Formats: sequence, structure tokens, C-alpha cells
Amino acid sequence: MLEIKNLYASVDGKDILKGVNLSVGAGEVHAIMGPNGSGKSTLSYVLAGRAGYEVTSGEIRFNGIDLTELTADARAAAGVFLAFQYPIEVPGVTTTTFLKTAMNAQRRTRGEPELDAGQVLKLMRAKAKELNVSDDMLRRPVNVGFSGGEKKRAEILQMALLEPKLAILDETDSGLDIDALKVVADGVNALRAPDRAMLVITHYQRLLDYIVPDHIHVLAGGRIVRSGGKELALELERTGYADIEAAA
Amino acid sequence: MSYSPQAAAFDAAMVPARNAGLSWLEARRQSERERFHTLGIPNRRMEQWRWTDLKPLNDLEFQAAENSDSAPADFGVARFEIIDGVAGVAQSFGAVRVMPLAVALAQAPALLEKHFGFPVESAAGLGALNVALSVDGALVHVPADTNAQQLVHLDFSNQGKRASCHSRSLIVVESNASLTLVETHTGAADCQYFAHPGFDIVLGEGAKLTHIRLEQEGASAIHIADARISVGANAHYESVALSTGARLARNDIGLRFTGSGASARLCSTYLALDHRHVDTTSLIDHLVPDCQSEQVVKGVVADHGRGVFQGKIIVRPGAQKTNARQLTKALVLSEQAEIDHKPELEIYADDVSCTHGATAGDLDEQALFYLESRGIPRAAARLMLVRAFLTDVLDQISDERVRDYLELALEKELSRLGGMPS
Repeated sequence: MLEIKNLYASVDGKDILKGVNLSVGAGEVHAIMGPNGSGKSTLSYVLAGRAGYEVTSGEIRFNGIDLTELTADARAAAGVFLAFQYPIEVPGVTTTTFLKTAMNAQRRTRGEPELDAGQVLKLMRAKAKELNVSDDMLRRPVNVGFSGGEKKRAEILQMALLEPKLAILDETDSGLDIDALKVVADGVNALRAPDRAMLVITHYQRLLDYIVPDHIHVLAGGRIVRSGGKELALELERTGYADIEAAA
Repeated sequence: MSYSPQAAAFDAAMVPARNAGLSWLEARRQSERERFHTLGIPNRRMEQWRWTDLKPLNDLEFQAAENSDSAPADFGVARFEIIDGVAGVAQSFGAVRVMPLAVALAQAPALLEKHFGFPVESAAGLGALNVALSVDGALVHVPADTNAQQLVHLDFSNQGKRASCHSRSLIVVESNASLTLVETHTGAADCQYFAHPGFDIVLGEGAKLTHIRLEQEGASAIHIADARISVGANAHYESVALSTGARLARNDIGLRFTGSGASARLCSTYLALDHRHVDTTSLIDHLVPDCQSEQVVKGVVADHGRGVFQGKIIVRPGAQKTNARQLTKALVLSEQAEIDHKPELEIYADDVSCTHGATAGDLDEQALFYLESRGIPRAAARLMLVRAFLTDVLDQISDERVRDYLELALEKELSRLGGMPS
């Protein structure tokens, strides 16, 4: 589903990714671990198409298409979703309006019929209930005044409604206590599906106790330096990243 | 003494104002006329006008509009029309009386003598001109202890029959009375005209006025408004204003607290596209102790648009326990657009709390990416954020009909932002 080949990317003229190779199949959950500054967030932004994150060489193919050719919104419509490490507050736009606009914008891009307000609300309420997102949160402006846990739950709600093919979770565990983490992880696990891939980016092994990956990759110095099964996380928890960084 | 050629031109254009045989009125108009001659048309060498050039007023090429293409701003509330500066017929809405100035001079001369067109420090030369020249306008009177259930709508429509429309209206909300007043200004699209409405607004003790204002003049119009507001003890004045029309719009606001325990909240917002110039200049004068004022001005400038906000707050000696807040925010969406902010605090009392803040910048790049990453195309995402920035102010209007009407006016202007650069 996702093929990244020899990817180089820079931010403000500074090379961050230096030859990333990664292959993620449909239905698989891959974790990207690594020390701070290794390029984990950069990789997520490059995949989502954030302005200023420039691919200097290499390729990203997503279901056969060249992702780098698409704008961020077109990537979203093609099925890429990024759950932000720090979800952005959007004053003046209610969560409901935001989600309705996003769902219909994607449908429009894909040439599908749009949903009316009633249909959107019905879907939203059903998914919100599963994720313990209150009606009040839906009425409030996007992420404004939300607690850390509420913001992460709202991200997963967005993901559940937008039904992406590739979900990238950037440090989804940051700022969450164990109870909030369980709610979020349950939400993510519920979205695991044979036609959906997930890329879970995390610094710590803790999240992977709850979202158990099929594969783990270690990113250091802008490239993947080790890959393995889920047991790799436990090893890293013991040894830390020092050896890996030294090797990179 | 300066007597500019422009001032002379205005003088020549003067028609004898209807003074209804009232000597005080004749004297007041005469003294304001003299004051105007002394002050002249404001120019950019004056501190209060350094960012707003009135040269377009001098260059105004008036041609009467053949057809009025401005639809009345009707949203189903008690409406009083002032067409090309000429007021409609007297009406009563319950205990609330609305009448043209000429009728008011006959029926309520004492009220007018007390409040009409008193010179205040904030009023510049044009304010004086307005008092001298305004032959018509409206009187809105809410008697004491009356809670006006009905909204009153003053509908100023400039249909392009006159080059300049000077009107002056008096709004009096007597003690413990309340009113919601809506003021709209619309006009012929392709006609150059000068709309010059003046307002004296008086709140008695414990009175409450909610004042909503829409300036949606024709695109070639010059709109200069002069509002002098006096807020009595324990009274509350609240305003929400939106400006989307006129190539040059200036709203001069002078608000004075005349009795303690009063409060005021002034919110305004504007969108300046093309070469539009929008200026909000205010003086909030805390003359007495224990009053609160809050002011929020939010604007969006794009293309070659320009936004000016000059907000002065004076806390006079003895006006202790004053609480004054002021905030101005602007979105600058193009390189050629410009914002000028000048907050000014003059404080002569020591036990007060005064704050002001100003920000100006482009849309938040992070927020834009957030919207795009959810599938919203960049242009739509920008529009969504601009709309959110501006409607925030309009959301404070509690009457749905009025709020919808203003939102529609904003939406109409926002739709022209479509070709916004990414």
C-alpha cells in the first residue's frame, strides 16, 4: 500500500530524512520509533504534504500513485490521515462544521455524492459515543479549550469519520495518562481493518503495549537503521537509543 | 484660522438648515459652522487623520444615479427610513417614538436642546460640519422604565440623488429603559456620494442600549460617521458593528461615562478588499469612577485594502476603579494591504486597570495545514479561517434575524475573496 524508496527530505534547507526505505502492506500496523530529532515527525509531515517539507529525492508511492505529486488535501481525499501530535485549535469553527466540511470536501474530490447535515450528524454522534466524545465537544470550536485527552480523542474521532486507508499517528500517546491512553488505543484498534494500514510514530514503547504493531522500525539520523517484530520495542525499552544513535 | 478651499466649497453648498425658529439651535449650528471654518476639512497633518486621507472627498464626482439599485435592508423589524438623508414619517412602536428631526423639533424641543449636537473634544472638523448642516435625521426616544420589546431599525439608504447626505440622529434611552437599535447604511453601487451620518446617543441612569451597525455603502461611496455616546450611571452600552462597503469608511466614536457604575462593550469588525479604506477611531472617556469599558476591533485586509484603528482611552483624575480593556486584531492577506493600529492610554488616576493589545499577521500556517490535512482545499481552508475570524464578533448578536442579515452581508463580501492568493 505504501512504498517509500530512498526518501530524502529537507526543512528550511536542512536535510532531515536521508534515505528512508519503508514498505507497508494493507492491514498492517507499523511502528516507527526513534530518539528525538531522528526525523519521525518530519516523515509524518512529508507523507501528509505539509508546505515547507520538501522531498529532495526518492519516492513515495501510495496504492500505486506518486504521493509527492498531490497537495495535502488531495492526499487526504486519497486516504492519508495524520493524527497530530499537537492538534491545532481553530477558534470560530465548530467541530461539527469542521468535520462536515472535511468529509464533503474529500467526497467532492473523489467524485462521490456529498452528505447532508443530518447524515453527517448521525454518523458523528454514533462514532462520538464510541470514543466518549460528548455532544458539547462537537458543538465547541475545534480543539479550543479541550484537554490533552479530549484533543487526542477528537483526532481519533476525525479518523473514524474520514475512514482513511493510511493512518499516521504522530506521538498519539504524548500528554496522555494511562486511562486516556487506553481510550485512544481502543479507538485506534477498533479501526484496524484489512484494507487499512497504520503508521504509529512514538518515542516510547508504552503505546505499543496497547496498539500492538506487526513491525517496528527504528529511525535514527534520518534513516531506518533497524527493523524487527514487536519484540524490538521491549529491547529498545531496555537498552535505550544510545547504541543505535552511535551506530547511525 | 485656516479656511481651506474644500471648506469654502462645503460652505457654498450649505443650505439653510431648518432651525424651526429655535434660537438655541440656530446658535448651536452657527457656532459649529464657525468651528468647522476654524478646523477646516481634516488633513493628514492632523494626528487623528494621519492615516486617512480625505482627498477623495475633494475629488468626489457626483452624478445622480439613474436607478436606485439598493434593496432596502429589511429584516422584519420596526423600520424607519432615512433616504438620501431625508427621514421618513413619525412612528410609534409601543412606547418608543421614532420621528424625523423636523417633527422632533416641534414636539420635543427640550430633549433636543439638551442633547442635540453638543460639541465634544473627540469631534473633528467634520463633526462640526455635521451639526451645522444636518437638516434631517431621526429621533428615537425610549421613555423611562420602558423595556422596548421591539427592535428599532434605522435604515439609512443612499440612493444617489444627492452628492452629500448629512444627517444627525438623536437616540435617547431614558433611565432604566432598554432598547436594541439596528442601524444600516446601504447605497447605490456605482454612484459617488458622501454619506455623513451623525449620532448623539444618550443613556440615562440604569439604561441599556444594544446598538448594532452595518455599513454596507456602495463601493464608490465615502462614509464618515460621527457618534457621540454618553453613558449615565449604572447604564450599559453594547455595540456590534460590521463594515463591508464604501471605498472610504471612517467611524468616529466618542463615548463618555457620565455616571459611575456604568459599562460599555464595543465590538467592531471589517473586511477591506480592493482599494477599500476602513478607519475606526474612538475615544473612550472615563470621566467618573467605577466604570468598565471593553473594546474589540477585528479586521481583515486583502488586495490593496487598508485598515486603521486609533483607539484612545482617557481615565480622568478621580476616575478610580476604572477597568478598561482594548484589543485589536487584524489579518493581512496580501503584500499590498496595510494595517495601522494606534492604541493610546492616558491615565490620570492611580487605582485603575487598563490593558490593550494589538496583533496583525497572515493566517496561521499550522491551522491551514491542519484543515488541508483533513481534505479541505487550501482556498476553502483560508476562507474558512477568515470567516471564523470575523464571525466571532457577529456571534454576539442575540437576535437571529439581525445576526443572519449581517452574516449575509459579510458572506457576500467574503465571496469576493475567492481568488485569494494561496
